Formats: sequence, structure tokens, C-alpha cells
Amino acid sequence: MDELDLERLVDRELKRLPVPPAPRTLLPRVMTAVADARPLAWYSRPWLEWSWALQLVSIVVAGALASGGWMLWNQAPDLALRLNQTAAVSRALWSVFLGPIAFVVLALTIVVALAGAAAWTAVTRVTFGGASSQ
Amino acid sequence: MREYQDMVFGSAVRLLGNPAEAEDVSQTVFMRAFERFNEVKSNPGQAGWLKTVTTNLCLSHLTRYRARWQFFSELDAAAGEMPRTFADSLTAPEPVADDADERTRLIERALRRLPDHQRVPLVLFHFEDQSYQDIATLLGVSLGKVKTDIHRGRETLKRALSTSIAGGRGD
Repeated sequence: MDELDLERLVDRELKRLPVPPAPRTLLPRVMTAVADARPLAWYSRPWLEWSWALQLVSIVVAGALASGGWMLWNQAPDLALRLNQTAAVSRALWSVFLGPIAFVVLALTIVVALAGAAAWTAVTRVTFGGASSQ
Repeated sequence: MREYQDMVFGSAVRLLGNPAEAEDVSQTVFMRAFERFNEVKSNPGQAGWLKTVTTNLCLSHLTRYRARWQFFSELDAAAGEMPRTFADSLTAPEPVADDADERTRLIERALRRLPDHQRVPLVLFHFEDQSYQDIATLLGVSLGKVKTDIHRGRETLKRALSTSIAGGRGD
């Protein structure tokens, strides 16, 4: 028997076989699994499947965001001007008042911090007996 | 689901050769269909979709849970047609078929007893009407290997058929 005859013979025999019936337990198993399956959260579902209230809220929020963005875009030149003015005032304040004393303030801060740390260590050792035990 | 459960289970049991595993895979197929219910219910090619998902899940199952069947298929190919386990080598000879039902059972049993690397391409070729090239691509093996495995599977089935026919004449 050549390959083609063998193929035809096996094909004919296999095609004659009835489809194996699904076990009776399959349908209940699937139904139980479907019932147990947790539904997707509303935000994971397509927008069209959201409830009408959520769709309405989402439209309002999207509209508000779009309006806010539009207003911000229109006021951009004014905003830039105000930012420039604020920056100029801050620079003037720094150069007149804060700049000259900045180094002194920094040095004082470090000294006070170190002194505080030393005092706290001393108090701790005296209070909890760290010094006497040595 | 009632309409397609036999089709899905039938495909799965023939690919896997194991009813319990086929039932598990069938359940997963219908769960997938449930997850995409809106997409599937309006699709005129539901049956084709279910068959494709069944085939893919069965192949995935074989790859994942049957200890790398491709690896064993290479070993089997190297060792000729040796039985896969010692238990297989102890199986009794095929019983003689005395009617059409018995003949059907005999062929089904012979099909299920084929090693995975022979049964899967054979089922894809004869039941799913896939070409040798498509099967080779799907399984990630060479065209020559697919043809060899299918040929060996057919030879085994032919022997089972011969036993059946000889038994029928003997009655």
C-alpha cells in the first residue's frame, strides 16, 4: 500500500468515527465557573458598557477638563507675565535682604544643630547611665 | 454552549487523548468564550473561533503539562518506535472487533494510544483539515518530521484496522 492509499484509508476510517460526546459534567462545570467568575470592574470595561449615570459623569468631567485646558491656554500670556513679575520681586528681595546674611544664617544653623545634638547626647548618657557604666 | 460542547470536547479529546484533560481544556475554552461573549455571539464564525481556541489551548496544555512533548518526540524518533513507558509495553494485544461499534472503539483506542507527537499532527491533518506545512508551523517542527510522524501514526492505525478486519472475518 503506497502513502496515498494509506492516507485515504486512514482518512476514511477516521472521518467515519462519531464525534465523542461531551461528558454530562461539562455543562454544570462551566456554568459554575461562569457564576464564580468575578465580573470586571466598571473602569475595566469598554465605555459603552458603563451605566448611563457613569457615562454622564464621565462626559461632564471630560467637558470640565477640556474647558479648563482651553481657559488655561487662553490665559497663558497673562500667566507668563505674572510669573516673570513674581520672579523679579523674589530676585530683588534676595539680593537686598537675604543674600548678605545667607552665609551667617547657614553657619548659625549648623552650629545650633551641632550644639543641640551634643546636648542631647550628654543628657541621654547622664539620664540612662551610659556614662557611669563605662 | 450546548450546540458546540461536543465539537469542542471532541477536538480536545482527540488532540490530548485523555478525556479528563479534554474536559478541563473544554471548560477553559468556554470560559474564554464567556469573557468575550459580546464579540463571539455576533461572530458568524463562532465554530471556527472555538476550534482555533481549542487547538491552541490543547497544544499549550501538551507543551506545558506533558513535560515538553517535543523533547520526548525527538527521543522517540531517535529510539524508533519503542513504547513510551514500561506499562505501555505490557498492554495486552488489541481485542478482536466483532461489530461496527467495537471497530470504532478499537480505532479510537488506537488513536488515543498513539504518542503525542504522532497523534497531534495526525488529528490536525485528518480532523482539522490542516496542511502538512501549517501543522509544521503550528508545532514548530520541520515539515519532514510532521510527515514522518503522521506516516508512523497511520501505520499504527492501519495495524489496528487489520486486527479489526481479521477479527470480523474470523467470526
